[in-house]
Amino acid sequence: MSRQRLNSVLSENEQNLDKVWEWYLFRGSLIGEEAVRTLEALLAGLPPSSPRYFAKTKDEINMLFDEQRHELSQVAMLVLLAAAEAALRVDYILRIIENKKDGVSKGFVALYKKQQLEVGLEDQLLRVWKRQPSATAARKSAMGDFRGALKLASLASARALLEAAVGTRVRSTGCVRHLRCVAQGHVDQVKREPARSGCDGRTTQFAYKPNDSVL
Amino acid sequence: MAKNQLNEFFREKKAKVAPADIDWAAKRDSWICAVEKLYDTIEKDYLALAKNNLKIDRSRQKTVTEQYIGDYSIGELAIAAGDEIVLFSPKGVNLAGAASRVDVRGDRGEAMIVRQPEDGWALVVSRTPTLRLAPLTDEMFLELLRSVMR
Repeated sequence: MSRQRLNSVLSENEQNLDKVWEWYLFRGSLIGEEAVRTLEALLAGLPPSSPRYFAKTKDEINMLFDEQRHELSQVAMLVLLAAAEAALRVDYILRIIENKKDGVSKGFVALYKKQQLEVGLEDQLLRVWKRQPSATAARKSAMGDFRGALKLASLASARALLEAAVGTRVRSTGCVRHLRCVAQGHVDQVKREPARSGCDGRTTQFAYKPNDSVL
Repeated sequence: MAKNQLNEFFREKKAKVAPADIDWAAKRDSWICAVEKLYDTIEKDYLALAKNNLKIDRSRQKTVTEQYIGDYSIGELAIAAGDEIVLFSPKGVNLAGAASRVDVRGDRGEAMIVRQPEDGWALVVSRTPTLRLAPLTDEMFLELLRSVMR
């Protein structure tokens, strides 16, 4: 594709990071307000606002809202990472169109000549950014954090797929093998071998921390 | 200024503590008594004709900790049939929309019985999309056991 026609691949529909963050805060505040309303009704001896809370204890209601917050933060993390990737890819295209002479733009033009739009995020786009002599330690560190978050996101999304496939919640500790099965589309195998907390020595254990700030 | 606001903030929080006009000890005792009556109904009414095929154990006690009431001991009911045990385990009285609750656990799953002051005991059939309660009768008790046992 010629550089002049690259504009046509930009949809202008990519997720805006600020909008995603605003959505996350908004949904989080709705959950918080519903939690307060429900707990206030419980303490006042009033009927709950929704039958879904009927006959639950305070601890059970708190646990329910904790789970909702956790799920929301997971979804928000995935959307934020997708939005960040979209922003980086849009920037890649814009730099090629504008043909600037800075190091990053030159690196992208060279990459485009070889691979056009078929470029990897982690191993190609981020590498160009990281190679720049002008990249500060803080910027390199941020890129490292972003790459780490991408790895965690792939684990988290595999977990979500697994849960959707087997219809149950995956425990905090599981086997990478099971997640890989899902990632490779071997859902039947996952169903035959449900994730378990104790794995044999041939499989790698990972410590999945639901309360981790990233997750 | 901020110190005054902080004081007011915590004064309001303190005012939200337990409603003063509730006799929590009486509520606890009434709850324990209601659970024993439920077990009597189950044992002497619903299961009257089935006693030769099951064992009933009412010796178990559990400690429940509840806000405003503290720790108290309350009986559980276990029904053993073949190699299966169904356990009736009281949950408490501080609940959203119900006076009290007993959880029922078997090999297949769990169910919930709630007590409403005027309506007596009822099985929670569903919460969503609409709350469905079925008054506890011998027929519903059979349905309950079928839903939690293998």
